Amino acid sequence: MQRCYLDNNATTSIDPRALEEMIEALRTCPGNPSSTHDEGTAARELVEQARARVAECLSVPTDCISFTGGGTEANNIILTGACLAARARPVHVVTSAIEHASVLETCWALESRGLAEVTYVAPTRDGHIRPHDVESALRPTTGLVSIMAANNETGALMQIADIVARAGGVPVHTDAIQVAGKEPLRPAEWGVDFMTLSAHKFHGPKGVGVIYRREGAEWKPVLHGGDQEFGMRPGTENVAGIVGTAAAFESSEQARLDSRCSLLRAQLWNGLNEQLDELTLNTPLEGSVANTLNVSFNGIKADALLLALNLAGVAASTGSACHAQDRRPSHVLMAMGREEKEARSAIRFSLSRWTTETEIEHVIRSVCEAVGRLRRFS
Amino acid sequence: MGQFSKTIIDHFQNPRNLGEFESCDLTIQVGDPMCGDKIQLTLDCDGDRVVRTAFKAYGCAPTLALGSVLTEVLLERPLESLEALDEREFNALLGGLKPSQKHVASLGRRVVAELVQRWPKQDA
Repeated sequence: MQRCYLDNNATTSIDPRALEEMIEALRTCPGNPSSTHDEGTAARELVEQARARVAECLSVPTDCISFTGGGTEANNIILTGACLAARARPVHVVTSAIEHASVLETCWALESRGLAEVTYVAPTRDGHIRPHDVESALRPTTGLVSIMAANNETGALMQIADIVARAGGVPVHTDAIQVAGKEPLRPAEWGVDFMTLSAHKFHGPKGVGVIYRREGAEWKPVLHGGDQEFGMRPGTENVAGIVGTAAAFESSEQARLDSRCSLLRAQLWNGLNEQLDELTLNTPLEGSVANTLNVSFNGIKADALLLALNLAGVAASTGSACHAQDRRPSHVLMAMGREEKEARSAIRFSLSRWTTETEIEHVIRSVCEAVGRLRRFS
Repeated sequence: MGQFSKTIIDHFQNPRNLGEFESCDLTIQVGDPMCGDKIQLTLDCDGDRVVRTAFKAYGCAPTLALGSVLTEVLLERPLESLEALDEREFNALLGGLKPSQKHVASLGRRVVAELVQRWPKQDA
């Protein structure tokens, strides 16, 4: 049975060019980039070339780019480092109630250590964070605003440039992990101080994150033990992973999701909505990344539908893969005002640039069959 | 399919005794407030035996499978044996539960406890 993978917000398959470059780097470049001999110098060159390639895609100075051990690590480093650099103690942070756990749980940790007081801005019913609500949450002691550029569960896109304009000069971080390869990333135009990315969300390798830090943006070290990556992420660089990240990022920026993906998503939603009743659409189709469709199939628990789909060859998810074992309903959908039962029946389909019409037809058939069967249980 | 046992997948795909009776001796409904899962059993009893039963369920795949497995167990075993069913036995009956699925064994035990408590009194 052919598998149909619609869980690309959890992770993506590796870009063939990235894989090729990674294998080449692993095969030919054994050195530590911090070493001064020829092997080390060659590894350093690969890392610096990768940095320049990523910076060029983002139209930012090369020195603004650092590599980390993943997106979660990048978010931890930026939130904690920016709070440590702030003058107020505790510093006030404005974030949203629908951030990824790597932001939310870092905020909780900062609060519990007395380093920060945090305001969690609620989303609208369609999953957007209103820039005005962020502005209203600001205090004289606010030292950081952190709002995601797109939500991982619903795909809702936020107006980051508008949020920066209303932040009154307070440093702004955006977790843009779900935007890379889907929508244009313009951190300098938006005016953010920090932006974080994760390579495996744009067909790069797992275990590499990217930080954009505006020149002069204040931040203090969180990890210690080396000056690699401008002191942001000490430790020997994952050379092959960084090379693969640059290659995958170039490919994904060149082949960014286009109208074809929007059409496939529309085909999926229309197909489901025409054949099934009791659905709740959790993705704002206008104002979201084109690859994400989050739907509640009322009367069914999403975990059961996921198994039925998996057995039919379809991979989807209930939301954040990081919390797949969590028995609580999605914090994102609950914050959006969904009923608990609606939140527990939500499935996220996330397409890639390689998803085909035939696959979408198969998914529609599989979902309709599974929903019909599972609704007979209750 | 490492996340679910073969037994769970079998009962999930081919549920036994799915449905409900309009007229029955007893209806049991037990839920798990933590995750919202629910099981309903309709039963007819004769002496110390369940002679007819059907289930409905809302929940994750192991909970749906539990409903089906429960109906088979109830039809096979006398009341005295049902009283002894504990979480460890439900774990075994479902082919082994992952740590995140252990609540299903607890739900099974609670369904049986409710059934034993409400077992219809026999005419003298």
